[in-house]
Amino acid sequence: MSSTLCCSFAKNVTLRSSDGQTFEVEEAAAQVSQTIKRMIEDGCTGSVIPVPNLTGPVLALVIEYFKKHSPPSDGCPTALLEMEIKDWDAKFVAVDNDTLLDLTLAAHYLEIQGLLDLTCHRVADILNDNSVEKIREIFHIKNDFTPEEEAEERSKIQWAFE
Amino acid sequence: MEHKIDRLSVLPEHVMEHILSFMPLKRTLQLSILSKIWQKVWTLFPIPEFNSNFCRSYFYGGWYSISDNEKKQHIMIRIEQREKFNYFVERTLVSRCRQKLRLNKFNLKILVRLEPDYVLANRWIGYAIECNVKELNLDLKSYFYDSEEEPDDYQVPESVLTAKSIVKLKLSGGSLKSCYSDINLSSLRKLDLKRVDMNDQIFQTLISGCPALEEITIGQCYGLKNIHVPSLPRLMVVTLLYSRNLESFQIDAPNLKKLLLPSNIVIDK
Repeated sequence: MSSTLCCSFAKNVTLRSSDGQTFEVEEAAAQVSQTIKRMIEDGCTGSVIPVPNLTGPVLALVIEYFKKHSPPSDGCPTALLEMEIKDWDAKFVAVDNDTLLDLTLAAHYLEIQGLLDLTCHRVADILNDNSVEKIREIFHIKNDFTPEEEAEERSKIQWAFE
Repeated sequence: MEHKIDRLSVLPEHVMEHILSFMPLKRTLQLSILSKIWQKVWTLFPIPEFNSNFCRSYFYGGWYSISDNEKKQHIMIRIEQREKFNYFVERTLVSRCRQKLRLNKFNLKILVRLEPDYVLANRWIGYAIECNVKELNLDLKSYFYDSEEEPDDYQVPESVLTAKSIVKLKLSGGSLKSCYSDINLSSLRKLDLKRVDMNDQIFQTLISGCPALEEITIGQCYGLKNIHVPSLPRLMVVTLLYSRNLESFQIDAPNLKKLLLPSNIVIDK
């Protein structure tokens, strides 16, 4: 239905982060986010779309994701392209844990299912591959159990450790 | 480094649930000792899957070659393990019910040998149904090993056969005995019956209560002699596995696409 596809000059939108940085991006690319897509459809894109939950650096990363995942203008994505995107995705989330959580929350707020799957899977991998002690260290989780409480908690689920 | 913030523990519940969906349940459980916030993490696990098989591991390795004292010790450990397992299942399900969390899938594999086991299994199944379970997978054995001679005593509760939320139902073991009053599985699309003790009449009644059925698998249900699948407009895939006492099998499915039969069956009988 969209008639904008035939235009050689793609329509752009401007996104503004919580700290006031603005970014211009193709409308089609920004619509990878369901939240932004709805805003565009509702016509609230007069000037600038505010993205109050994301800081500039995080929004810049998300826009990189948009660009890579925007629907190709020349037909269907090929298998080769899909593979390339997959590789790109893996590199995209190979970041420090703080950035990873930033991206996870961004995907959640902006409703970007592909990015949410990607980041959550990566977090799950980290949780899977490390011991409880190491996870506490990686994510700065304070162990607020007394040694007795922890031992009791552990005994309740002892079978899960076997 | 000391005042780094813990951001993982305060992720929105929906996000945490999504993360856990990429992990095995056992691992999720281990995370509950991370901190007090994580104590309840298992309630977010989207697919409860309970398999009491770990209780059996103590039986392997030369049961006959060990002393009575050792046997006693093994049994004690097994009972203790089983109690912990029961406690865990109960706790998970009750918490889900209280929070009115939906349940996509409920897998339960346990031994049901005595009355208390029946009561427990029925209660757990009841919780799952209360959470509007979509996919119910029950593997309920009365014996450690499949027994062809002795059918299971455990009777599948009526609530299973009237649960409108169930889309996929898999029963392995157990029996469908008395006349259930009104079987109504209006959403059921896929039915899998293995080693279920039942007769022709109950099968007929069951099938008549599944108007949306698309796929059915029947195997090792030795109580069945003459299967008759009545006209079901949506039925597309029928699989019949080895069934010893079966004499005839009649289906009336106008839209059947795939029919799988055991090799020893004679068509046109």
